[in-house]
Amino acid sequence: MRHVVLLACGEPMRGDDALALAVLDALPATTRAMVEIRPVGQLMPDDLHAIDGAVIVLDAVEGPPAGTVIDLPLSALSEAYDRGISPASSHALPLPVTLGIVERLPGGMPDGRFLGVAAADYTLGAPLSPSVQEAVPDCAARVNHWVRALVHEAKPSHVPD
Amino acid sequence: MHESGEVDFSVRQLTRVEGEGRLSLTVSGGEVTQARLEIFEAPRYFERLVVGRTPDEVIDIVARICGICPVAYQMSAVHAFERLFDVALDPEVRRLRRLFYCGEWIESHALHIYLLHAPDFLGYPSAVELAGDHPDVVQRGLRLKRLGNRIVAILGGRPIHPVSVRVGGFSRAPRRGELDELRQALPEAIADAQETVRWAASLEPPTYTREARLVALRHPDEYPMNDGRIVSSDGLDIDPPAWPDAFEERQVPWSNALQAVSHDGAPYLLGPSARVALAGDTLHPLAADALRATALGGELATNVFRSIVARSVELLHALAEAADIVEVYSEPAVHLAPWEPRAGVAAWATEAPRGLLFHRYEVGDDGLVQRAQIVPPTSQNQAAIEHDLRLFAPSVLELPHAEATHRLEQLIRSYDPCISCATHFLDLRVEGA
Repeated sequence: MRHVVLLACGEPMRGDDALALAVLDALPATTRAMVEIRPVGQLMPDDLHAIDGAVIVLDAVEGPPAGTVIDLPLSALSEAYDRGISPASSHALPLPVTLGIVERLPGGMPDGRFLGVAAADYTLGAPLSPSVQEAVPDCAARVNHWVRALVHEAKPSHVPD
Repeated sequence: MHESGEVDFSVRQLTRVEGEGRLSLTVSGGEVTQARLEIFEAPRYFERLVVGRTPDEVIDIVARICGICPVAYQMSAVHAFERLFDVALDPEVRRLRRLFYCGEWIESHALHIYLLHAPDFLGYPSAVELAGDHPDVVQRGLRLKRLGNRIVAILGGRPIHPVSVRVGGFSRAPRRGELDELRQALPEAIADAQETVRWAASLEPPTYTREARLVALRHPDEYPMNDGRIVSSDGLDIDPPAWPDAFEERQVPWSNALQAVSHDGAPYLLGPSARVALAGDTLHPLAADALRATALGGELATNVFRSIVARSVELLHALAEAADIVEVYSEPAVHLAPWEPRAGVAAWATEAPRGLLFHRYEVGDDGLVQRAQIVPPTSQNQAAIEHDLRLFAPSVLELPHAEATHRLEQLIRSYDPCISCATHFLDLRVEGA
């Protein structure tokens, strides 16, 4: 079995920024047991660099209409950023810098996926907004699919309906 | 250049700083007529959010002010409340608090040294290009940062916005075996940090000398983090709760962050350079040796561009102290001391990676916070940054405009400003409401 790291980004107290933890809660226990889950708060180069195996980055998303589920290869994240789609959890470094550093270091960008749901509200203390809450099961199904695919090193050509 | 002969230097969006701000500087007839660090990031009103909350809730809330230095916010708050409530900490808990703070200094300093500041010295627009040409340097920085995050996660439950700090100690103390991974990783990290000091000292800074008023905590027996007295290079020596006796906050129209100055309006400098100058005699021997070997000594306090060296020395100090604490650690007998709330003023200051962080809370008879004041280091350094811009700018006027602007931006980055931290403090008044 291939080692798979799931980077759970976000701040659970800030409304839709709790998306990653909500999706993790919705995953079957058997799936959670197949991956190493790392709560990382915000996505930084040291989280992505030198990962032994594959990686799934799970985060709230900025850009698309709220509730939209995003499912991309990690290698396509830079291009997605140029189209206005970005993980929400960044503070110290802009996403292009985070990704650019990892891409240029030995080992490059690890194999894996970026998954998330477009957010609507980051109010401190607020629950997930309704559109994001509705999208959690779909996002969890995709995470479940990719965990199993990456663990078994399969290269599925499609995502689940 | 304007028809009037004025020259504007502006950076509409400062990069490689935390948060959103811009630089605006006007020169007329070779004289700097205006120097402003314009902070336009929206205010976030944390001082209002904590009103009506219990002390433990406040500690969790203020951690959310910053994703880089949340431990600092927790430490200033928890020490303030513990002092008001006369809480006696288990000595091992006190050491754990220092280890916790070491973790934050390590991750914050490694981030700034390698990913935010180093590109300025090596001629790169960002750490992306630096990673391409010097992958070994960037990988060393990432290794150090990762270890700092790991220390925070082990003690705080997670690397960002930790959740374990409580009035009286921690909600849970780690078992000795949980620190084994740190015990194994720290020696290599210390070697990395020693190399960091040598490397940082070799970076050529712009020529610039000035005498700044330096302010930091100082403790007779330990390098300042959680404890000590507020001292300055011109003789100030006060208990941390007395911060308002020496300093004040003011609002300026070009910034969403309050600026702190001395009562006479004078700026002052906080952070690694100030701490090394005022408390260098309490550095860990490994850090003191490394500093001595640079032969830079007093230059760290007079040339702000050398702050990268002071930050590197502190990075080494934090790793060496962390190794010492981990080596002798035993689980505290009481990881959470009992306490009872009481009405009064809870105030304290600790040393965030960027400098002194002052908190003051008025607590009511019901044990809830009625009023809060949080003064982060960046809002205290703002006036010093603008003062330095005025002094330094004339030396770059002959350079091509882009190069001069870059030098001015580099000066601001030397302070490692965290604009997101600084913008919680706008005094909002709604007229006619």
